[in-house]
Parts: sequence; structure tokens; C-alpha cells
Amino acid sequence: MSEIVQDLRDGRAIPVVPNAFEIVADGSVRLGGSECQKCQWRTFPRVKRCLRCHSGDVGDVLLIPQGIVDSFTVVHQGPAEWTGVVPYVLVRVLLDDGVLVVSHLRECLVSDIRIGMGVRGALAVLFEEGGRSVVGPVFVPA
Amino acid sequence: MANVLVAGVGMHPTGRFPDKSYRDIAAVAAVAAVEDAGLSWEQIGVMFASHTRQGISAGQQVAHDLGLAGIPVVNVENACASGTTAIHEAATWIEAGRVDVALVVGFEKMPKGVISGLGEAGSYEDRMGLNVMPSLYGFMAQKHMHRYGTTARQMALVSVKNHQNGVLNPYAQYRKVVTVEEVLHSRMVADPLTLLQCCPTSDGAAAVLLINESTVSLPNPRRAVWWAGSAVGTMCFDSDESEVSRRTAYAAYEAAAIGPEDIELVECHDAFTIGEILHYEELGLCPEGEGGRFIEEGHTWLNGKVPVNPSGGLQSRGHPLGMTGVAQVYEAVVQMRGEAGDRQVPHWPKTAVTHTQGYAGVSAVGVLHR
Repeated sequence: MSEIVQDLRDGRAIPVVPNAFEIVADGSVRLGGSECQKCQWRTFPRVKRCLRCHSGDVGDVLLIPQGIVDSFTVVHQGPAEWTGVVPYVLVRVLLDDGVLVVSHLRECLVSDIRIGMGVRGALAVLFEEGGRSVVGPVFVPA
Repeated sequence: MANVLVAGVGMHPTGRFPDKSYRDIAAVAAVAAVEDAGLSWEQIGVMFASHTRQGISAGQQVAHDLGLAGIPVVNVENACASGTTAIHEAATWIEAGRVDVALVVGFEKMPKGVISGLGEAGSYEDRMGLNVMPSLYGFMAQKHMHRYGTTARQMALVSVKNHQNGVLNPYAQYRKVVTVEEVLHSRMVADPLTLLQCCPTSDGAAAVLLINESTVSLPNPRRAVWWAGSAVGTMCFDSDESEVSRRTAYAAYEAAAIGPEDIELVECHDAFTIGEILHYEELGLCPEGEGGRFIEEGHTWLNGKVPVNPSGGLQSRGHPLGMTGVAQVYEAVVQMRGEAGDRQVPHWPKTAVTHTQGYAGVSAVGVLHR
């Protein structure tokens, strides 16, 4: 992951979307989520209004990407732009603080994936675009 | 409020029609529905057009081709639930006394391959490759298998049953019997869902003509069927697709004053096989978690106690998005009239339910009664 971090710093890699993740001081990854300042509801990715209490007073929060697999699938036929990337594994993860996050699962054999297994966040190259690597937040087995 | 009848139904076959435009196929279905009702074009007070990808004012183009000049034309886009939503809205026009006769035309021409372009371009979901319809159902399937022990074979049976029904439907896209082994060994799309557990993309059109029963005389009123109640819903905060389908179904049941025990026929949204199993539970046909066993025990087959998708469903009849909810009503009506030919269910149903579910948590349910 340190190589990816360096590529991001040097401009050889770009984030998949702005504000989806941050790298904190110890080099680990955090997810860029939102927290309602009124009811403390948290979500990912970021929103402009609270979906629970409708408040517009929503702030940014960094979520620790650690939790368990709620469900998963292996995509063998995706959108046209993902043709060269399939198959890829998607997981819906219930983070320890209750937020549901959908992303890719890496570094795990399909036969080893289990609902309820522990996972943690990491960064991975998703695809190449305009001569640069596109990096996104993924999960790997904990 | 006025009582609404489905007075006429019509279909264009579902499949691939490269030499026909959406206007061509929509017009065929609309003419069939109006002729089926035996009413005149001058009686139609509004037209609802259900489609998702045919462009701006596609409904007005179809209305133009039908010579329906001057009446209001309303285009309805609610993803896969567009057709049911359009009928629901048309019924409210009649109930409110705005018009006496409403024509609903659902149509679509679709490119091959998985549906892309869902959600907002450039969003996290889009850029991460998460907006893939089969994967959403893959999540549901894995969860249901994990939680309730539902098996791949039980899911495959949905495809087997619906293809078997589709063989008997002259309007179906795939009129070919498939076996459990063929379904399970077809190409994987989104684990555990194989190709033969995913509905095709299709071209097709269907139409229904709704009337106010107290103000419109029909040449053959015994063929008409009540539009007894309907509802449209979207997903609640922190809920899921099952919750919205269940809530919407029970809202429609309440409007129609029925309970799930009254249902004798269902056309539901089997875009993916796990969907049909979930919908058995959401629609109240069986307890939660028992959908897999419900099909295995034969209850939803053509000769079962609650036949589901006698048309062949989305799996076999096909799934032109804007058409589907309207085509479901076509099937329910011909079954209730006893006009379904080789696929006629043994006892002409008195109460039927149609159900569609779409991207971003939309669901729509209709109840028909005779």
C-alpha cells in the first residue's frame, strides 16, 4: 500500500472520486463519510443532508474501515467500461460503527469468502485511466 | 371515488425487432387494447406512456402515431416499476373524475448486455463499478442462502418454471424449456446468479385501457376486470428492497380490501431468480425465509395453489423495462377471463396481483379482481 500512497503523492495515481478516502498519519486508510450534527447518524459516501432526520447540518467524518461481510457477489459481467477488469468481488460490509459500505474485496480467494468474516480497509488500483492508476478504497481479510 | 375497470388489453410480442421503432411496437399494443375493449378512440381522455430510455416526449410520439391529438399525454419513468406506476397513476385520474377512459402504453427498445448508466455518472458507485443490477441481486441471493439455507437449485427452479410457462405464451421472447442443470451450468454473471437466472433485455410493448365503470358502457362488460387497488412505494431510510416491496404490497391490498390469502395468481418481478423467491415472502404468499421451499413444493407452478408468472415472467417473456408492469396486467386479465390458451391456469382466478420493483428502491403493486 505504501507504493500506492507514494504514487498518489507523486501524481502517478489519482483517487477514484474526491474525498472517498484519506490516509492518516500512521499510513492507514480512512473512509470519507458524513455525520449528522443533529442526530449523529453516519453514512458513506458523503451526503449533503441527513437521510434520517433531514437536517442540513452534516459534517465530514473519517470512518475506520473495519467490520464484517454482510453479503458479497462475484461480478463476471459488469458495465462495458469494466469488461477488461472482470471478474471482481464486491462486498457489502457492516462497519463496526454500524455504517454499511459497498466496495471491492481483494486478497481473498472466492472460495474463502464467508458472510460474517472480518475485513479491513486498504487502497488498491482499480483500473488505469489516461496513463495513471485509479485508486479506490477496498477491503481485504482482517 | 369512481370504480376503475380494465376494459381492454393488448400486446406486441417481446424479443428483438431491429426493423421496428418503439413507435411501431407501441402502436400495435395500443390498437390491440382499444379494439379489445370495443371502445372508440374519441372516448380516450388521457394517455400514460411508460418507458425509461426512449427519449424526451416518447409518449407524445406514440400518441401522434395513434391520432390521439389534443389529449393530455403523461410520460412515466420509474425504472422497472414504470408500467405498474403508469397504470396506478392512470387509475387515479379516473378515480378523481378527471377522465372516464385512460390508455396506458408501456414500451421499450433496449440494447443487449447488462444495463449500465444507473445512478449518477462520476459518483462513487459509478466509478467503483458498483452499479450493476445483477450484483445487487447477487448480494440478496448470498444473504438469503446464508440466512435461510436457500439453495442454488431452488433458485434455478424459478427459471425452469418460468421458461416452461413462456413456451406456452406466443408473446414470450424465449420459448424454450430449460433444465435445472442447464440453468446452473450456464455462464456465471454475478455469483450465484448464472445467465439463465437473469432476465434478458428486450424490445416490446403492452397496453391497457382503463375506464370509469359508472360512466362508460362496454359492448361486453363481462370481459372487464376491476382494478381494485394499487400502490407505489420507495425505500425507507435504512431499509432494503424487501421492505419496500412488502410495504407497497400491503398498501395495495388495503386499497383493494384483500389479504394475501385471497391471491390466486401473481405476476411478479423475476428479473433475477432470487427476486421471485423473495417476492413470495414479501407479497405474503409464504413466511419469510421459506420462498425457496415454496417453489420446490410446487405451489407457484402453473397448476399450483398460487401460480406465479404464468406469462413466463421477465425470465422468459422478457423485460422491456417500460412494458413489464403493463404486460403483467395483460397476463392477469387474460387469465381471469379464461382466455390464456395453453397456459390457462386451472381455475380462472378471481384475484390477481402484479408487482414490479426497480433500481433505487422503487416498488409498485396492483390488485385485480373479477
